[in-house]
Amino acid sequence: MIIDGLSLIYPNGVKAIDKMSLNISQGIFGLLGPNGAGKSSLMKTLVGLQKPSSGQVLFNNVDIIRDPDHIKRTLGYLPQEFGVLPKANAFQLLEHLAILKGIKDKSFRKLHINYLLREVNLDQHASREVYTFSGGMRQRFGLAQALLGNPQFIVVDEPTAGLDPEERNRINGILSKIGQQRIVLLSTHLVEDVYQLCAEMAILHSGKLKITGSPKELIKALEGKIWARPAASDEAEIPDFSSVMIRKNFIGGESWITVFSENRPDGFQLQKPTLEDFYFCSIKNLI
Amino acid sequence: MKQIIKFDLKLYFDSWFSLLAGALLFGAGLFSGLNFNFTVSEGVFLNSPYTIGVMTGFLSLSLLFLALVLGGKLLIREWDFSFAPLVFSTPLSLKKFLWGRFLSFLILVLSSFFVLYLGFGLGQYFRKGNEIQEGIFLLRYAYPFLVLGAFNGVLVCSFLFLLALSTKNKLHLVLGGLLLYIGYLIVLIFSNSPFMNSASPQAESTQLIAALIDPFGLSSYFYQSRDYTVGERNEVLVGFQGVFLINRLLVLVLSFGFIQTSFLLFTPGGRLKFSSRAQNKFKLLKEDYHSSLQTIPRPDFSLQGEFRSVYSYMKQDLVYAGKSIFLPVSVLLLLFYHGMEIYGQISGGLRIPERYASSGLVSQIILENFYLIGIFLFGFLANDMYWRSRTSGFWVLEDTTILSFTKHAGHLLAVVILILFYSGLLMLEGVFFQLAYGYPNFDWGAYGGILLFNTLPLLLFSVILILINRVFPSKYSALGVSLVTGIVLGTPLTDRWMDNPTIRFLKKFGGYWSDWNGFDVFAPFFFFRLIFGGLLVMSFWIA
Repeated sequence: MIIDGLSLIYPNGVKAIDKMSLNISQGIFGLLGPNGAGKSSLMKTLVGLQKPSSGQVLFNNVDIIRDPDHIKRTLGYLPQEFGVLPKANAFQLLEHLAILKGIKDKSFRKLHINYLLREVNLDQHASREVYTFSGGMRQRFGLAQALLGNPQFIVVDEPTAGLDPEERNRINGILSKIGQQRIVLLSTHLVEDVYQLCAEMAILHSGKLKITGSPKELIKALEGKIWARPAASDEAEIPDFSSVMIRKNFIGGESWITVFSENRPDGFQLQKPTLEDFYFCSIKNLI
Repeated sequence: MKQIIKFDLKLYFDSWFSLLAGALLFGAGLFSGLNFNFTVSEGVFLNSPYTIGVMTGFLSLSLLFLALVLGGKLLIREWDFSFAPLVFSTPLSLKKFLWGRFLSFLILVLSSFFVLYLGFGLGQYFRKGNEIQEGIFLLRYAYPFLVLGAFNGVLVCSFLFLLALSTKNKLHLVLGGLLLYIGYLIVLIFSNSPFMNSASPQAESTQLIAALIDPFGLSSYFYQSRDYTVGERNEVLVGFQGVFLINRLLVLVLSFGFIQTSFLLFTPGGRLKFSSRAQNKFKLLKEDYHSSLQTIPRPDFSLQGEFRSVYSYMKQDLVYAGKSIFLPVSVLLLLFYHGMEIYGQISGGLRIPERYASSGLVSQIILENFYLIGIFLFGFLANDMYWRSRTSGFWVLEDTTILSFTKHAGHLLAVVILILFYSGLLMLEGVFFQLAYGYPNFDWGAYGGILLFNTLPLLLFSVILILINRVFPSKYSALGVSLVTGIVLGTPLTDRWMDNPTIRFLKKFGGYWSDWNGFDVFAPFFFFRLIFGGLLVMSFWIA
């Protein structure tokens, strides 16, 4: 998939996507960015739910902005927010969507749906109305429907939001397995998930592409530049102007300050950089 | 408790919708005050204490509908919006919550009834003529409002309160309320209540029993005042004593019983959502699991796949309609309404022996009534089905599939099936009446008229409805346009806009069935006009 100069400007003038260009190849591609960065807007545009103001998106050399049906033939989409039809159970809704995706054989359809329900650990709830599901169950239902029909391009927006650790691992396992044979575009706030799952990633901020690359390579650029020390709980600013605080967090109830600096600030210890450090440095324009 | 009442009332009284509903109720009351005639006997004025009491009793039946609308929104709100766990984790006691909720419900229902009643009183005040006594008679209105309106309000609210809290299900609440109303009217018919047309006089003992047990108190009101002279009826309030008092006290005791039972049955937890048996229905077999792992689905985007999608959309719509509150309620009301009309016509025939429960008679009644109701009914249904995916947020999943463009045809098919279903039910009701009245001479030509003059134009209208919903950008604008289109094209109003009779293909059929000639030449010409309409509408659909 080649995204070339894509822009999306809403009628109120907000630039949701600003001249974005990106190449996405087979595997899981992670999208990171703060709220309002343009991740969901980008995804909605790629799946054909909204038209961009300008730019081109080529999927297997076909412009899917002009021909959205081309991507719909092989698309699986889990949006960040979605509703379900009241009064219909999980199996009925999945069957409806399977038919709309062109899965023709009834007995196979049933087998395929049951397989996916099993994969997302909902097989015991197949006949339960989906609107009665908890947030985590609904999310797993969303993933099951995205995987219907064995799609080659899968877009998942916050797939593990609201899931417990066990379910999160299960979903990550599924994504990892399917990501080996097709394109999976994953948007999440969980930096750790991107680090564990994605071969390539991009950071978006205010509708613009900040940086793209492999998580491991990106982290390498921070080696020797991340420092930390315990801090008083009300300590907000670091007086040393040669370093910039990138985050303040808590470890075992103790407050810690992490800074980015070329040289060691007084009282700080060198830290092994993480993708989260890179993310903060990136959105604070430190790299 | 006070906090619950204040919060509930504030939510209702602060909204512009309540203001609009209040204005409509006031308007309806004003209209009935200006136009409602009820002759109890010669020389008794319309605004005499006696007649106002009877009319108040009549109007108090509307309490049930007011309570259903308000109760459907208020009584199980916490469970509908998953707010119950938050409310019941506060220090608020369960009993206080329940009393608070009941009282706010009662206040809302009685306030709505008061607005209607105020309009009615003002309507009578502005009325002129020999049937009206001039002057302001506040007590004549206040007294029946209390002894009939308020007591009946307590009864209706406590009954619905019990239904709502024990089932926590809107469908059960509405059906229960409607069954109470329908059951009450049926009892009135079969007990020969003086309320009903063509009733035979009741025996003294029957009158007494009816007076004691009538939940809305009208029979006891009649019983208590049965010996009043014309002068007394014009000047004296029907005393709160004797059988009337006993009836009202029984109603209070019954209401209190309903409230206490609802307290006993109520549990703050949610409703049961699924059975354990249903959970395992789709358990995957081990061998299926392994075989599905190795199979990759082959998508089919052919015409056959499109038909399958149309069918799937239709199935979803019908599953929803079958499980929703709208279908059973509309079926119940439609059958009841037509049943009352058919019953009225057949009973009228007892004094005119040539009118039997013939196929012609029942189908003529259905023809006269169903079409306009159908225009509104299917206007709402088509709109609801079409926009359900959008309003529920499911559209983001549906619209990213390749075959989602088939949804228009799917929704259309669902509406078509429902039109056939309602038509079939009404025809079955007609057959039932014929059998019940021992007149099993079925003339299928007469029943065929329902299909030709009602069902076919409604099918055509359903295509127009889907087109309107497709074109307009929001649910409510589409609904408004659908209903206006139905009124303009389906009612005699169409004569004002369209000179050419061929274009009036959706106009309600105005002809009659004759046992000798059937529908005569009306049938073929009506059919030709429908073909023209069909071609016109289909060309819009294709475009």
